Amino acid sequence: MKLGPILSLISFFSVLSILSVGGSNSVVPEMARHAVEVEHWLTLAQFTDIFAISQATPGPSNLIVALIGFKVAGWWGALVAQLAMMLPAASLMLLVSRIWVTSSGRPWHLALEHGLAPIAVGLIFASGWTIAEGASLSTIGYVIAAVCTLLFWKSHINPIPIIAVVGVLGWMRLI
Amino acid sequence: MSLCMTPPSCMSEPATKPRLLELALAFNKISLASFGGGLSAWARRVIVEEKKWLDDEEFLSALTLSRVLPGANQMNFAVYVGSRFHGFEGALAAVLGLITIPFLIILALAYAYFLHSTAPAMQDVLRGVTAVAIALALSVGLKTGEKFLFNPTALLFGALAFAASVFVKLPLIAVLAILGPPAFLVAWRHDPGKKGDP
Repeated sequence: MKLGPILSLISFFSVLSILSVGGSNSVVPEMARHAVEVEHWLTLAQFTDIFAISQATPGPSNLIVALIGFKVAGWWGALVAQLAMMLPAASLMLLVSRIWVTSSGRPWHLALEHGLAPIAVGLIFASGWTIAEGASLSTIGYVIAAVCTLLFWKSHINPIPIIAVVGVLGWMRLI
Repeated sequence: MSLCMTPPSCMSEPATKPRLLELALAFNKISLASFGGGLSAWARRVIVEEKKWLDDEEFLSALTLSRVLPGANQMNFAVYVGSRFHGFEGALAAVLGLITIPFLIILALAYAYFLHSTAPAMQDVLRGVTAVAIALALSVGLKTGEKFLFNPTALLFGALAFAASVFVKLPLIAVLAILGPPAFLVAWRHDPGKKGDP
């Protein structure tokens, strides 16, 4: 384990952690610029590949960081980079969660909760819409999405078997 | 909760407080299920519907906090739910449950990609899964939003948030900075002590 690369992983990703407002994908362009052009940790083609790999892996959206860490400094690099990306943001979230939970029942807390609820719902619809826009599905794909929306809304059906089936359909290039 | 002054409007306490292991297992399930997008859907299904640890209102506010603060949304949501019941230890348990298996998967993929230069052909599978991810997000919007159907103020704020995000393409933080204060004021004037519509 070399100390130099480990330290540059820590210093870069711990700062990026606090900058990742709106989720880790918002800092992917900065990550690419730094990793490819500034540090030459990997090529742009490799960056594109590992971005796709991290998106296709279940789990939080910041796993791409472990892939970069692995390329730079092996197993330890992956662990250190992932921790550096998680800890600062998680600490801030812990602090804000405490404040939010202990203020439960206060008038300002209730007004915030009630006022922001419909906005949160609008943003949930927007996230579904945004995934749909970027997905470039076939017509069958959009029909499946519409039918599944009604199904998940009105029934308690378990989505996992459906995900498995459409995953296979996608793999067969039918969607 | 000791700070509650108006009991009906307080965060409703679930019948049993989750144990640390239950928190870890629940978030492990959420993280493994929600690939291809759809955090809100799986988080709500597991935490609100199955476990009943949060009600819909607290879920929505926790989700908004998770999205507006820096960091991966799933991670922030795990920190919220974990710390809500068990402070620092709860947050740690929830985050470990969320990250451990995906991290091991990514290590295996890193090994395969960088040392054997095989990129798994996951793109096609992912496209199929995306159709369901869209449906999951929209269905959660319908489930959490159907109670606002006959509430014009709530409908207006929801529609404005949707339009600002989708059509004007404002970042989340800008949407909340613009719509948050008026929504807060309307809710404040309406009745700061009563649960229900804004």
